[in-house]
Amino acid sequence: MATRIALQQVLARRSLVVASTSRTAAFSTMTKALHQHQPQHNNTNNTSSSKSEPETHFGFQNVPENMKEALVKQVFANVATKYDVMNDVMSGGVHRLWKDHFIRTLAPTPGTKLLDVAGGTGDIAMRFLDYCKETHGDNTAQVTVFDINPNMLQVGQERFTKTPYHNTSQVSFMEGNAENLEHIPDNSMDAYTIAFGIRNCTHVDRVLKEAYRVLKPGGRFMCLEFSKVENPVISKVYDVFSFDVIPAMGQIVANDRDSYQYLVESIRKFPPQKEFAKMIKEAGFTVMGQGYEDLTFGVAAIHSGFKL
Amino acid sequence: MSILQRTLIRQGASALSRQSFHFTKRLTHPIAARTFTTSITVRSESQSSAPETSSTSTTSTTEPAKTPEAILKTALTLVPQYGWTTTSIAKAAESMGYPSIIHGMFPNGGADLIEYFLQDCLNKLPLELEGRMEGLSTTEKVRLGVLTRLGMIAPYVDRWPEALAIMGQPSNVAMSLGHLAKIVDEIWYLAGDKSADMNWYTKRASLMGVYTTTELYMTTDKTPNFQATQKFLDRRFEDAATLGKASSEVLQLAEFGAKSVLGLIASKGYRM
Repeated sequence: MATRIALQQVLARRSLVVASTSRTAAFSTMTKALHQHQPQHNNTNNTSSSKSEPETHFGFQNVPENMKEALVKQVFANVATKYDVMNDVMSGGVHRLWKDHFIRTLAPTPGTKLLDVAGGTGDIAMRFLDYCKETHGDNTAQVTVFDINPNMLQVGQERFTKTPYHNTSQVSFMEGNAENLEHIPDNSMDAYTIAFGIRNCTHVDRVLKEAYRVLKPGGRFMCLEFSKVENPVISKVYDVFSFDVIPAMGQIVANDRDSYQYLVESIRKFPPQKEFAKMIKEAGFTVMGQGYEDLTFGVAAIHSGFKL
Repeated sequence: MSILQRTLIRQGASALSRQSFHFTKRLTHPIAARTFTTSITVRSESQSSAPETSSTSTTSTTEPAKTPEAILKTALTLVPQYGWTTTSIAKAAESMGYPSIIHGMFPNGGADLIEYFLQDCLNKLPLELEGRMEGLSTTEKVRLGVLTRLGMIAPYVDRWPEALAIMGQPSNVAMSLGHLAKIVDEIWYLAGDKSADMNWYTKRASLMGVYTTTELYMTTDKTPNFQATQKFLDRRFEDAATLGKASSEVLQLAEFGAKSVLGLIASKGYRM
């Protein structure tokens, strides 16, 4: 309960900050400013400390590492309210099938404690609790919805108020960065899921390390993320759809082209299946077989690892 | 020499060497009968010692490569209770101090557990038969091999029909047939079979038939020490012997016919 009050305070504070800037315009202004000032920025970096400020990708642009978090935050602040609608529009509803399959693959057992990182709108958390209830008649399973973005969490919280899980110990919300799960103790979770979130993180290796830390020995890490389409024909169609159709739809449905432009670009920047599986292994996880399963020709993939 | 002639000669030779697979004698070997019983006790010993191994494997978590196997090993001890299921794997993991969600390591559930069991049996078979085959005839060796292998199923015999059903599912057929082939190959190999001709196939094919039917019979056998299964096995060996004889007679007849035809062609002035 204390965490919830704290969270509400945080949320109130955040919404003040968000209100002070014009929400929808904020992101595009930020990126534009970045564009204009990038050469200058680099110059100042060169004179002071170019090495201490490494760059990372933000879509197809490069940005200083310490900026990415804020930029990603802004993207999701922009899309939060339209997030689920846009997912349906963009994937033709297929993302629901992916998420269903994701939870069936996890196949939680009664009493499972799940940490759902980047789980803002509660898609995975809801499916997880429903699976436990419908398959095992279990109401002891617990999920912590963890997200960096208060706007996304707010959408999730509102969604849960309409369900029987509302105000039970089965679901809790926590705001924070996936690279630093400081409020979650070591060896405390049975399962860790991150669905369509990890590619937005600045340091994927740190996220994996933290996942490894909070999982109990024997716990399972599972990640659902966009991946690489290997089939050249389908890849062509997919590229046209991503770069021409999705941003346009973002413009029409959510009145926000830039955010959706970022989303499709970030997908291309994320490491392909095998490379990501290798990163999971390097974080210490035990991987069975090739370590991933392609969904819809590799448009998305489920990666899995066990802490042993 | 024509290809046909060469093939006929080879088949004649294989028919001769097939004599090693004649189970004409009624087999009543006290050693073999006792082995079937002892092999059962060996299994149940390992079963009762399994909780002990589970506790040791919790302490040896420093060996990550071993853990998936350790979980399945413990899960085998729970098969009589929960069957060849994901539940057995999940309960085993829990007993070892792991969260049960780890069952996701074995996405095929029961089929993975069965495969582990079959592989385990395959590894144990030569160890259990070591030094017990000396002085036995080939037939006796094969019989001992089959009985020893069947003895490994004994602790799970009540759950074995369930395993057979899982193995019969289309997605698992390749795995189960592969293991059946390995079982009969191993038994023939341990019995000292060195054949490298068509005989290799016929021997294995007929033993596959014998093994599968006997295994199926065993699942309904309630007699002490599976005496009825042993008798059933002996009857199947007799059938195989009769079948071997009959087929070699047919082959001889075919050979005779083919030679006559060839002679007839030659007498017409054609050179082969």
